[in-house]
Amino acid sequence: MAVKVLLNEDEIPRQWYNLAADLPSPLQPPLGPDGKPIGPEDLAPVFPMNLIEQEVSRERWIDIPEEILEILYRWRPSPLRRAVYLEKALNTPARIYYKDEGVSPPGSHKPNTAVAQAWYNKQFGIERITTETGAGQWGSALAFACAILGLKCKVYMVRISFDQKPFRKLMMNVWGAECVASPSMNTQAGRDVLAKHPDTPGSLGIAISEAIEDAVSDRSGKTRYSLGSVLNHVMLHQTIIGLEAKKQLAKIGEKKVDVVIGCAGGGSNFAGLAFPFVADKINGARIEIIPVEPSSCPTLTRAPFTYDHGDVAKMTPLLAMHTLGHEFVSPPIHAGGLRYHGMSPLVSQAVVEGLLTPRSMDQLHCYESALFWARTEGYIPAPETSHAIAAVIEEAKKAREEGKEKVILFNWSGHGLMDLSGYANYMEGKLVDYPLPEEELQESLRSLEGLPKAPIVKTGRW
Amino acid sequence: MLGHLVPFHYCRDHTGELPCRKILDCWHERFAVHEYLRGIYSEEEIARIVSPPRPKLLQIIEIARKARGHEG
Repeated sequence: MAVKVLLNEDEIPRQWYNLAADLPSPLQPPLGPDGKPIGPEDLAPVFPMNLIEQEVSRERWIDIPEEILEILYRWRPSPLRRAVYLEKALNTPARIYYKDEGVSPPGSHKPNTAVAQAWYNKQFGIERITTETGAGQWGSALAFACAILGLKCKVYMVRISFDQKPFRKLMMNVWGAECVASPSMNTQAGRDVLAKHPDTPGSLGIAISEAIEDAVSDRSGKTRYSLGSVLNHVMLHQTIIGLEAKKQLAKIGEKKVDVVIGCAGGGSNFAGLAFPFVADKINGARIEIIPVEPSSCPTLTRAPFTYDHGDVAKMTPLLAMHTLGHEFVSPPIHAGGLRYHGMSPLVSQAVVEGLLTPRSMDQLHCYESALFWARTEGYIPAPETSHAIAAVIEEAKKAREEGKEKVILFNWSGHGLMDLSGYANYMEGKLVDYPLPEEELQESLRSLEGLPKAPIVKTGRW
Repeated sequence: MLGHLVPFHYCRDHTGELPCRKILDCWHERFAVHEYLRGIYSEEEIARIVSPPRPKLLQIIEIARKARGHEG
């Protein structure tokens, strides 16, 4: 029995898929303080115009430049694996497949967009890219991409992570990136913080400010900033995952997928696998597509679709997203990458349309599933990925109960070899579950009363 | 969000200004952190602490405008 399906380099997809072209109800544009949509000129100091064009594009297919493919060939097409050992352990008639995105040099799906972004920056004449990072997964992916393309890369890494989690920083250094602890003396934002609080351990907010300031204050105009999640062009670059999977499933003779699953924080690895299958669903296919999120931090499963707002003065720009409101309180969780208040607008709108069926999972259930996976399939998943695995196991058991030979596909978004402390906490019994109680949710949502409501635009087809 | 363990004082004092907006998220299972904050901050300040961030794209634009303002 085949346990992995490989594609040759000449079989790799040569276009990205843009869901914005096919959403039955259009994306609602982000609004500025004046109530007018944000325009490309607002973004030009930060991103190169070729990426801005992708951010606002409504073209269905966007060609992947050959030079980007040449770089992706290092690990792409990534393997489609069949989880036969898990299937046997569960005694399920379901056939479970997963895209292994852990085979990239940095060990996750992140370089799919890091490489593309670095390449487009270089095409635009940019010589240097800045970004921020927490624990370092994104920073290491961008460092890798810049090394391959001969660009300078500067990563502002939150001071406390810089000190406590040195290995991702070392990965960045190995790839030639400059990684500095944030706050730093390199920027006005950093100097302001250090002047007041010289011993501060930093924060992601400060690191973002430093990375953007560094980019926009380069008078040569040769520096831009890069972001690894949430934005439309990031989702676009990740769709190569799902497009490859479709070819691989066809190659092994699977004519139909019943369930597609991915974990969802900012949305990029979920979107990467799922969006090409969402297109099939829009065109009539019967597929259940499940973004999985932590039950302690539900943004898709229980929050209404409304306008979020960023401060108590209610003077900040508005964007249509799923939100839990001002007073939302999330319990602790070790899957750091899933702890977003907001979600990719494309994913949010697909939920509104009913094209996606979000599901939430308790963290203990996720770790239990991750251990079961590691002890059957062998690979240790990232904590984020364990959310998808928990849902896969649920679906496989359901197929067993129903006696149905379902085909289940999910995104194995990265390995967990840099995240073993979370496993240690689980195995030492230090983790507890705390799903958001209904009354706490309702209290949270009261803070949204009186705010402008996003018009719910949906066709009602799903 | 940082992917590793941090002590409470990091969340309480990490910028020297208001606590991290995630402080309730991360600590309310351990002790009554909301009550702790109420003893220190006004309701308005607490509302600011727990406010969700602005959408990413708009945060970026705002930071860029502020940074360019520094240049004069």
